[in-house]
Amino acid sequence: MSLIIKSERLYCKYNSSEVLTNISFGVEGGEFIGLIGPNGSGKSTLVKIILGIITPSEGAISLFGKDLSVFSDWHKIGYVPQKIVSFNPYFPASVKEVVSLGTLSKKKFPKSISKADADAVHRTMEFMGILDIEHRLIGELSGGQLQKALIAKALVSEPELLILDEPTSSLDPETRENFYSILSELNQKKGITVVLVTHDIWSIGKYASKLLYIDKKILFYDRFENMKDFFASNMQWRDTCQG
Amino acid sequence: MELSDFLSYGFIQRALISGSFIALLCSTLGVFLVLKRLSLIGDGLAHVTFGSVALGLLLKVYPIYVSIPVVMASSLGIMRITERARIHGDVAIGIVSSIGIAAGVLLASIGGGFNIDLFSYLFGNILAISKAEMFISMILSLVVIFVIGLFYNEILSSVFDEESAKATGIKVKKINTILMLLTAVTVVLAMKMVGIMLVTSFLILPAVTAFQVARSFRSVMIAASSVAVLSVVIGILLSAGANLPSGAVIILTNFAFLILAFLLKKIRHGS
Ligand SMILES: Nc1ncnc2c1ncn2[C@@H]1O[C@H](COP(=O)(O)OP(=O)(O)O)[C@@H](O)[C@H]1O
Ligand SMILES: [Mg+2]
Repeated sequence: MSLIIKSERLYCKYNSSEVLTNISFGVEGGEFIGLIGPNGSGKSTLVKIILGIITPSEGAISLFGKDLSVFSDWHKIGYVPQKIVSFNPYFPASVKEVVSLGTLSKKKFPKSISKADADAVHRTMEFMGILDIEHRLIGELSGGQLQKALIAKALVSEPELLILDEPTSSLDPETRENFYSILSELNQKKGITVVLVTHDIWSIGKYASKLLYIDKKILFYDRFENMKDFFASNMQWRDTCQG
Repeated sequence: MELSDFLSYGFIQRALISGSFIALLCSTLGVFLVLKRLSLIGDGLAHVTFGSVALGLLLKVYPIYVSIPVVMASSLGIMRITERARIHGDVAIGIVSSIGIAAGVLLASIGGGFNIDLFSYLFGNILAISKAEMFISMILSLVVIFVIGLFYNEILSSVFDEESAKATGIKVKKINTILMLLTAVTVVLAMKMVGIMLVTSFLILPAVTAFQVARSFRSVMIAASSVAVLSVVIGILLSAGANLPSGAVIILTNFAFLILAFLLKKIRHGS
């Protein structure tokens, strides 16, 4: 099977401190990858490099078999950021308008939103259970509702790859489990490849087909079951990751 | 005097027409600029305009020919500073703006004697708009609003969240550049016609008024432009009737709308 994400010898520095060194891995279609690691280990940075938001100091990314510099099928990818960088809680857009922005990835210039897009937006909001709040302002939502809206925005273009950066951090445990089962369903039934950045490694083990554990470099990239052996030989891992 | 008497004056008609177009233009841009935390960019670029007009007068070139490229470059400079140096917009505007002023003062002192021309560029008067300027204001507004319309969704997406906009294939840098250049041209031309004070307030007040009551982004755009145009019309008629300075009355009218919108929001939220 061809690789959906291929990362080759990535290095990344902020100012002069190395954040990622020699990151090489591949993700195949249909996988569910749990991307884990302690705070500040470079998970968000890696995700942003994959998405072309940050340029690495060295190395290359290919998406769906194309080098990032020539990749243009952005509708194949849905992204839910860890936090919106300068999220303005008073941003005056409705939930529906924000979700609609997800349809732009398919468009050529001028990017306008068609009737078919509006239908897709409606279906996606229905799927995520947020139709009742479609006319609310995005800033008025609770953490969980906002998260669902941002996931709907990522899903609306019917992506083949979904990348989520700690989407469960503002959810209560129950909503969180519920959320994992939605992801699992998308992965199993619709065959969407999922990369999920999370702290919550014990829950994610149930769902993920593989865990990618990084701390500046890749420490472990394998099936969850094989984590036990790794765990036994790397006791310090528990201290860094559990807190 | 009757209302119809006022309306028969050419200068009042031109003020109403140009004022409305400029208000429409600035308020549309203003919504995006305020959300990008660049609300004082009008003021900053106005100071750069001051410096560049002084340069034009010194070089004996028609000032606008100097101002437009210089102010465009400065607007891109502000963008660069915020992107590169992780400096907030207000600081970047402050840097560019103070350099603009300093250069203006220096050039004016070297050039001597052109203070009057210089001031006429800075404190344009809405009641002294010529026919040619009226057409410029109409064309400028239509062109800028057309361009914003073409890029509307991309601008909205970038303003909402630059990182996820990039991950949907939007060229955020290009979008920011377009927004900055449109703002630069608008500030230079509108300032000559209606002055620094009105340009600055048209970029901020209608947007902030609209944010109080809006239920969607579309409604923000509509509310901001309506409030801006209404403030111009009411402000000009009031000021002409009461023989008061029109720019100030326009701004205070807009401020009254802001208070009204704020109260409306309070009532709606039941507190
Ligand atoms: N824009 C930035 N400028 C400088 N340092 C940064 C920036 N973003 C992240 N870092 C640093 O890079 C390291 C990795 O950050 P990040 O990728 O966000 O880690 P994680 O998502 O695993 O918590 C951290 O030490 C963080 O402080
Ligand atoms: Mg992170």
